[in-house]
This record gives sequence, structure tokens and C-alpha cells, in this order.
Amino acid sequence: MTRSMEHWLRVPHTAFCPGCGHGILLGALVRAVDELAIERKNLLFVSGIGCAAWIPSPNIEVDTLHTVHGRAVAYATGAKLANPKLTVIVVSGDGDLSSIGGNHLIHGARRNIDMTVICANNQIYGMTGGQTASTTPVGACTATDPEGSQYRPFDLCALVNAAGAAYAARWPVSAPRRLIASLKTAIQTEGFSFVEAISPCPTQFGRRNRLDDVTALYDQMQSLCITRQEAETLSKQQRLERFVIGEFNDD
Amino acid sequence: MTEWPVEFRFGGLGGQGVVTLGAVLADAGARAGLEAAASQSYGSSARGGATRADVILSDDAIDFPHVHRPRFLAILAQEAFESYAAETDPEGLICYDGFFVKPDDRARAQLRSVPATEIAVREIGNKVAANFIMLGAMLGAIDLIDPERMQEAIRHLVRERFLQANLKAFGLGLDLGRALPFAKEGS
Amino acid sequence: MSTKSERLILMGNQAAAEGALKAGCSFYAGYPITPSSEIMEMLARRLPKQGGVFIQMEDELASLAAVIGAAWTGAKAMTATSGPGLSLMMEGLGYAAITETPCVIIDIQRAGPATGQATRVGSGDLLQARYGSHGDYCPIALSPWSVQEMYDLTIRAFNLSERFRVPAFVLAEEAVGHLRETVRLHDEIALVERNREVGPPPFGHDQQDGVPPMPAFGDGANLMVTGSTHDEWGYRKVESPEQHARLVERINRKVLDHEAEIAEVDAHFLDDAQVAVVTYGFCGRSALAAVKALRAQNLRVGMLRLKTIWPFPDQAVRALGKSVRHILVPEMNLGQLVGQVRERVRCEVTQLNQVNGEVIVPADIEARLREIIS
Ligand SMILES: Cc1ncc(C[n+]2csc(CCOP(=O)(O)OP(=O)(O)O)c2C)c(N)n1
Ligand SMILES: [Mg+2]
Repeated sequence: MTRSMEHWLRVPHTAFCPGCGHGILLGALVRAVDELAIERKNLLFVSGIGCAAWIPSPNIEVDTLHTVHGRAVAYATGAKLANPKLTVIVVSGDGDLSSIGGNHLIHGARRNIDMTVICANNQIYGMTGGQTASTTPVGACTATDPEGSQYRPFDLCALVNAAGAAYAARWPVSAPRRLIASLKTAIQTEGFSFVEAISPCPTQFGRRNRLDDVTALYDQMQSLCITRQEAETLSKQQRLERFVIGEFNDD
Repeated sequence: MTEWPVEFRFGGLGGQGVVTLGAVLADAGARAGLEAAASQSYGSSARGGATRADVILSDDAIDFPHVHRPRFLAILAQEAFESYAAETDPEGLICYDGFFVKPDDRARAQLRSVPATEIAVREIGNKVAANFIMLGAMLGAIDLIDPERMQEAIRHLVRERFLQANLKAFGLGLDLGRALPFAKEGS
Repeated sequence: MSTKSERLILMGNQAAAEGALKAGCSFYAGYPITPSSEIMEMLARRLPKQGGVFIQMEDELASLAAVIGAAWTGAKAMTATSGPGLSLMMEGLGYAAITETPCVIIDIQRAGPATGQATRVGSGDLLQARYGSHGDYCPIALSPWSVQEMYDLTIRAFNLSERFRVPAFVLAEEAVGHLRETVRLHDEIALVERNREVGPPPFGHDQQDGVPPMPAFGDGANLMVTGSTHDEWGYRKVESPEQHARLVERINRKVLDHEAEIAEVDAHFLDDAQVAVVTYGFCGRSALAAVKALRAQNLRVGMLRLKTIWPFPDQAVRALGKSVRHILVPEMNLGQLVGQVRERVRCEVTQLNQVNGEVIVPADIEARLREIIS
């Protein structure tokens, strides 16, 4: 029997497009929090700007701080340091956390402040109409790279690990059980932990890349997922074209 | 009877500890029950570059807190002499470190050479202590502030590590200054 | 109100830090910049010793962000900076305004624009503080002229910021921040604590004074704080004309309508003055010396010093415009506040501006006043 999660939700429906992965991530997130039995009063969700930043706000009925574009980690740092009793969880997009907010992300990891950062990575700026992000794969078409993006995307887990994160993991939203398990581990890990959820965007990414059909988009995402062991046989360049999934806390 | 307010200026290069002298004198003035204002002008780099520290002491509230025409000038660098000597009150006193400064006739105030750097090297083993020798010499000569208030201020503002050396430097300067008291011309 | 005790010499920036501690500041986030760094360095030593939090952030965007995050946990939080950092803080300033977050920003102004002259003085940030972030908002900004006021007005900035749930500035100049003077620190002062009541809408429009209660994270209020237009509970309302107008009008009105409570001025020799200087910050010191020199020659000059810049002391300046025939506004910028004066008076207004990185000296004000009188 599955437990209802409604008691965590503030509004009857989300604003996400049909097929958007952000809603699945929302579901995984409230389940993780529910299973950890954290006192609601001490939970704080912080987000930046973008579709992903709407995952906690207004959907989750807890304290939420919906901030400005890119700075969620900095706002969260202030809240956590001023009240260490809070369990602070940042949820935001790939553009928010790693393009405009990249500096705050690496400094958050460097300081290893006890917070969890969840990146809903749809490889594009969803909210503003499908422009290139720092996570867009080479060759993918966007509103600002109609012929295909030419610059390499970030490997976000490697980035935060290099900067000192205590825990990093990457899963597609189509693997909800593993995603929930990692979210729980991340929240329980002391220090800066990072979970990247690959979250397809049918409206802005799929439509521009001949993946209009939502099932095709999800199939494509899943076909690109490989394990760390599989990744070891690939070149760095080849790895950047895939999603290496798993947990990345090496030490 | 002293005619307040009295304006002081310390001039030198960054790293010579000029700003500290201003802070110490202002602090001592406050300890002596006076109103005090200290300001400084310095460049962006911590070392080198012209630096000056100004102090006003008064028995009444100080309206404009910047020094306009110093009565007493202490200088540790030739550049400072060239910039400030002419502005100094002709009835005042200019103390300078003869090791760095060659005075000329632009100064109309009384001039007094203080071998601060030389003594600092010989007696303290560190030329940076010249600043406190200079301060002591000037205050010894003009006898405006109780040296005990000065020593309290030094203890309050100088870091433990440099305290003994600076107190000693101040004392050496004081003796030098007292041996050559400043008297207003005609008085 | 307050009793004063200890008399000592402090640098303006140190006095501001003392004021912050006295006001109950428990959180500081900042990024080093001349000529403000002494504030940060002093709080780095002192705050942790008394259970507060100090953090050096990666830039000024993050600094104000962390301050706002901390403020929502109930802390009295602040940052300090100078022009280049203030430019980066414009983002957080607008966010603090629309989310009605109390916080204090001490800006020690240097000569701009851009990097300008880092160690030299200017008063070029007045309009940026007021209008630099996009959209309509009204912060509070206080202007100290002495080390004593660096202390007193920092305390007042915290109090006003808590009282009105707005960002409050101490807009000082390098010449005050780096000035050392005798100050008296208070033993007892009245502190304003924010109303943390859980229950009423935290962004509601029903309060008479326009200031809703502000529970903190962790108080069980399930707060929804957002920089998007929101209703009284914090639900985003990004397409409703009514909700947007209502919110923006209230966050401005709650400050502007309380001008009488917030705006302070300091009058000197105005009773029979025919010519007056309207001044603020360090320039007030020069103006006072100039006015006294002219009074000694029986010339009927006076001065009105604005201790509050924003909200602009409307009443006091209007009244002055009716009692004198000529106003002189000296500024260490090319004329940032003179327009505010001109808007409110019919008498003649002359400006005296200087942007060479040095303070305006009394002799310059005195000379200009003489020209006006003759
Ligand atoms: C300072 C600033 N610049 C630009 C924007 C416009 N903007 C809003 S959301 C967004 C991109 C968000 O992308 P991402 O974080 O990946 O979230 P997604 O919508 O894809 O979930 C941008 C550029 C903004 N709000 N603020
Ligand atoms: Mg995105």
C-alpha cells in the first residue's frame, strides 16, 4: 500500500507542463522527506528562479524561500548558519544553479555547509523559452543555438565533488526509487550534498530536438544513462554525451 | 595656557606607522579629557606611497575634523616635508628624521632634527620603531599631553607583540624632546 | 531613552560595528572592500564570541543574499560595503524590499563610478540606494556626520528596519568611516524587536501602519517567501494587476507615510537665517564651521542637516524653503540631492559640487555663502 503524500502539498496541482520531469522529482522529494520523518517545522526549502524553482514553492507545505535567479545557495547559507536547527534543502534548475549561480554552487560545496542541493537538470532554460544552459549537450538545438550548441556541458557532480561536496549523486527521474534513496542519503549526510535529477523538458528541449513524443524523450534519456563502470570504458568526450548515473562520494 | 584647538600632522610613507601615531595621539587626548579627531590620507597600497595622519585636540567640540594648518608636524620622509612644511603654522614646530629628510627654507616653523631612525636601529634593533621615537620627541618638546596618557594609549592600541619595543621607543623619544623644549618665539 | 557611559576614541567604521552589536545584530555576511573593511574585520572578531555568526561570502550578491536568508530565521542581520559592492547588492535590495525583509546595509562611500578611487571620498551612492534596483521601493537611509552618529545611526537603522520591515542603509562617506573621534557608547538603549506572530498573513495589507507581522523560518508558519508579486500569504500572483499595485503601493507607502517618524533633521542657527545650507553627512561638518565663521560676523546664515536621506525629509525642507530666501546645497557628487530640495522649495537654490575625491572644506562653503549674501 502506498502512503498518501497530500499532507505535504499546499496546492491541488502543479504548474508543470505535461511530461515535465519536475513533477516526478517533486513526488520523489516529498516521499524522501516523509520517510525521513523530519519535523515539518524545521524544514526549509530554498529555490532560485525557473520552472525547477517552483518545485518546492508553493507546492510543498513547509517554509519556502523562493529567491532570485542563481542565488539560492547563498540565501540558504545565511539561513542555515543563522539557524543550524533547520534542515535546509535547495531545489533549483540547471541554469539557475550552474550558469548564473555557478559561483555560489562551488563555494557552497567548498564550505561544506550542511545543506542538500537538488538540481533538476533539463539541460535547458525551460522557463524562459528553451535557451542554451551550461548543461546543454553539444549539438542539441536551443532557442539561442538553433544549429546546435557548440560548447561542452558541465558535469555537475564532478564539479561539486572537485569543490568539496560531501556527497553527490545523479539519477534520471525515471528511476524514482534510486532517486528517493539518494535524496534521503543526501539529506542525512552532514555537509554539502548534491543530487542531480535528470528531468526531461518536452516543451522546450524535446520539441527542438525531434523528441516531441514524451515517451520518445524518456526513452532517449534512459538510453543515454550508463553506470560508472560502463563509463570507465569511454573517453572523456564520449562520457559527456551520456548520463553517468550513480553515487559519486569517492572518499 | 594652551590655546585649543591644536592641530598635528604626521607625514611619511606607507609602512612607516604614521597612521598609528595619529590614532595613539587622539586616544591619549581623549584620555586626557580632550575632544579629539584623527583622520588620514593614504593610497591603495599598504606599503610605500605618501601617507599622512592628522589629529585635532580641543577642549571644545570639534566642528570640522580635518587639519587645515598643522601647528606641529612630524615627518619621516622627504616627500612629506615637501608637501606639508609650507602649510605648517610659522609659530609651530617641525620635527623631522634627519636620516630621510633634508629640510629647506620652505618651512617657516621652527625645525628640529630627530635622529629617530638611527636610534631605532641602534637601541631597538628595528627601524620601524622610528615612528614612536618621533612621536615621543615631539610630545617631549611641546609638553601638551601627560606622557602617562600617551603610554596608556600605546598599550591600548599597539599589538602585544610590538608593545614593549614601541613603549621603549616612545620613552627614548620623550627624553630627546624634553632635552630640547619647544618655546614659542618671543615667549 | 538612553544613558551614555564609556567615552572613548573609535574609528567611524568601528563605531558602526559597536552600534550593530548594541542593536542586537547576530549575523554578518560580507565581502571585503575599501573603505568599509574595518566593520567586517571587527565583527569577524566580535560576533562569534557572543554567539553570533560571521561569514565572508564569495561576492556582494551572495553577501546580501545570506543576510536576507538569515533575517528570515529571525536574526538581525547586516552587511557593509562600498560603491562597487553596492552595485552588486542592487539585486538583493529589491528582493529585500518586496519580501519586506529587515536588514541593514552600511555603505561607506568612496569616489566612483566603478572602481574609481578606492581610498578617496565621495557621496555618489545616494540615488543608487534609493533608485538603483528596478521597480518602485523605498528603503530607509541615514546619513551620519560623526563617529558618534556612526554608532547612534547604526542602532537606529536596525530599529527602523525591524519596525518597518525594510532594508535600512547607513550611507556614510569614507571621511566619516575612517575618522577617529571621541564617542560615548550607550549603556541602555531602546531596541525594536520584530513582531513574530504566527497566524495573521505575513504579507497582509490590513495593518494600519502597513507593516504585517513577520514570523521566522522554524516558527511553524509554513511561510512562502517570494520575490515575485504575491498575495498576503505569499502565493505568487504574477498576472494580477490589482495584486501587483496593492503590494507595490503598500511597501512604498509604509515608509513614505511615516516620514514624520523616520526623518530626522538637525537645525543650526535657522531662527533668523536668510540664507541656509542644506547638507548631510561629512559636508555638514564643513557647513557648520562655515556657518559659525559667518555668524561671528553677524551674517544671518544657518544650516539644516539631513540625518535621514530616505525617506527625504519633506516637511522640514518645505518649511525651510518658506523661511529663507536662498538655499545652498554642497555635495561631494555632481548634485544628487539638490534636485530633491529644488522640487520642494520656491526660494533660490544654489549647488556646490566637488568630485575630486576630497572633502569640501569650510572655506569653500563660506566663500559661496558670501557670494550669495552679497
Ligand atoms: C537576473 C535574471 N536573469 C534572467 C532571468 C530570466 N530567467 C528566468 S528563469 C531562467 C532560466 C531558468 O532555467 P533553469 O534554472 O534551468 O530552470 P528550468 O526553467 O529549466 O527548470 C532565466 C534565464 C531572471 N529571472 N533573472
Ligand atoms: Mg533547466
